[in-house]
Amino acid sequence: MIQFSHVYKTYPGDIHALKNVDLMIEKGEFVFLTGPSGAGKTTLFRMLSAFDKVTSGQVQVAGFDLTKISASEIPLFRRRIGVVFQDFRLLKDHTLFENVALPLQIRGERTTVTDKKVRDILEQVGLSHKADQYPEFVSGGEQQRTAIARALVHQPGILIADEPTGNLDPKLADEIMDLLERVCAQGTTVFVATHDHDLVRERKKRTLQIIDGMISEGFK
Amino acid sequence: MSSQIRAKKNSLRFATVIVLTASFAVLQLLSLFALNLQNVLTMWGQQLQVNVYLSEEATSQQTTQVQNFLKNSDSIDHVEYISAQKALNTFKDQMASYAPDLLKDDDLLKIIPASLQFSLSDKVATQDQVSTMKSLADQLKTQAGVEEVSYGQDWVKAYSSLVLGIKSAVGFLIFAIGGAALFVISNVIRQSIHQRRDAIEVLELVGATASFIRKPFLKEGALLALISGGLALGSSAMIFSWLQKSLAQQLQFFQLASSIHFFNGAQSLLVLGLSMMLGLCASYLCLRSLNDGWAASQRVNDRG
Repeated sequence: MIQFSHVYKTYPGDIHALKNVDLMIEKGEFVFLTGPSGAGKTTLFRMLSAFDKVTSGQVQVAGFDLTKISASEIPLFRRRIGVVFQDFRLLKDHTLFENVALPLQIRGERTTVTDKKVRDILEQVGLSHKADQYPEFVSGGEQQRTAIARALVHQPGILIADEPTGNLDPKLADEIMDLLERVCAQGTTVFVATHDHDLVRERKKRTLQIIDGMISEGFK
Repeated sequence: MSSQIRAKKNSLRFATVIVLTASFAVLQLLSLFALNLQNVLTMWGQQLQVNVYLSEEATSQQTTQVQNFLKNSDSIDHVEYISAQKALNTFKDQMASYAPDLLKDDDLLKIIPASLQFSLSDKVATQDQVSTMKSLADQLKTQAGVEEVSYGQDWVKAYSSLVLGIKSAVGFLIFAIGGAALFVISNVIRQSIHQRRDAIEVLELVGATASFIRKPFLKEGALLALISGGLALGSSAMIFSWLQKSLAQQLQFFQLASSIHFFNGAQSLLVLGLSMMLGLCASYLCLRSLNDGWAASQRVNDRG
């Protein structure tokens, strides 16, 4: 499902963000990626969500070779994955319902289908009662749940979450992690980057550690 | 979207509509000027007549031959034979009040010749009138019995230069103002893209194609231009009507009142369509490099 082979990423100024990264994540796995700030977590996530190109090596995600992907294929690839960011990235002038409906509207789904799918996913994340609210009028946890609902509404094979609990208090962070585990239990591959060691210890999932651009299995 | 951003955006749109309306109104008035000038000049062109003066010795057979030559030409509308007597009578009528003494000069009156008078057909384009007349004159001069051919060469040349000059000037102005309008619309769309950069990133994030992202901006550009075009059409109609009323006497005097018109229904639709196209083009020019699939990522990377 996700495969990195000998991946290097170098930024101008000879900054080596990723060094010889090899990793393999199978379908339906729940994997944490941990590491200190600046270790390369976000860089790795950018690579696997086609937000940046590798300098060398190979990246295969959801059947796409991201080292050879063309500009016109990128939207198609992004429809096969779901991405959640620390800062939620919701459209402020759209209601929670409209935000969640975006991926379906982009695919040209019929309104009745979109309506049903959005209602269902909002029910799953416990936000049905706030569907018509605007993001600025709901809590951070609710905004993050909306972002997760948006990432899942089109039923992607992979959910990539970069610090999804970074802006949340511990109770809300737990809620979000519970939600991600439920998503994984339904067959979605979940890859979560976090620097919250307590959270990783509690969940007892496969953990990859990245330090100074190099990746290793396990958590120290 | 915060109310502040929305208010700023609306005020920018309002300012754009005002500027575009003014630009389009100038463009439409220039087009109306060119259109009506064309009408007037065409009307004048149709009134141009060619006189073929026959020599004193011309036989009736030669006269018939020249008449037949003229009748067989596609460029000629109507041929009239003016006998020397008729020409003399007309001359007498015209000069009676201005120079009565002249009419007493029998020798002078004898030199008025018979002639053939004709005008060009409507099929001859305004810009081709001079060359057609010249060509006909050259051919007529070789015909037996023809003394001289006169078609007001100087006037026709001046008239053609005037048509060409005014058309070039109007064309240049339309091009310049159209370019300015294009720039104004582009600027608004660029601002709009800047304000909605975050939304564009989100759309890219969830897999929106370039055309999906561009569509609302294209619609905005086209709609702004269409609204401005409509408002400009209304303003132009009012200015045109006011000018028509103010110049009613002069137009009547020069017998031009019937040649001056505002855009008809089809022309108005064309004007609106062209305004909309201009808006679409301006938006498209801004959007060409907006989204190649990596645009948002570039921004995320710059930020990171």
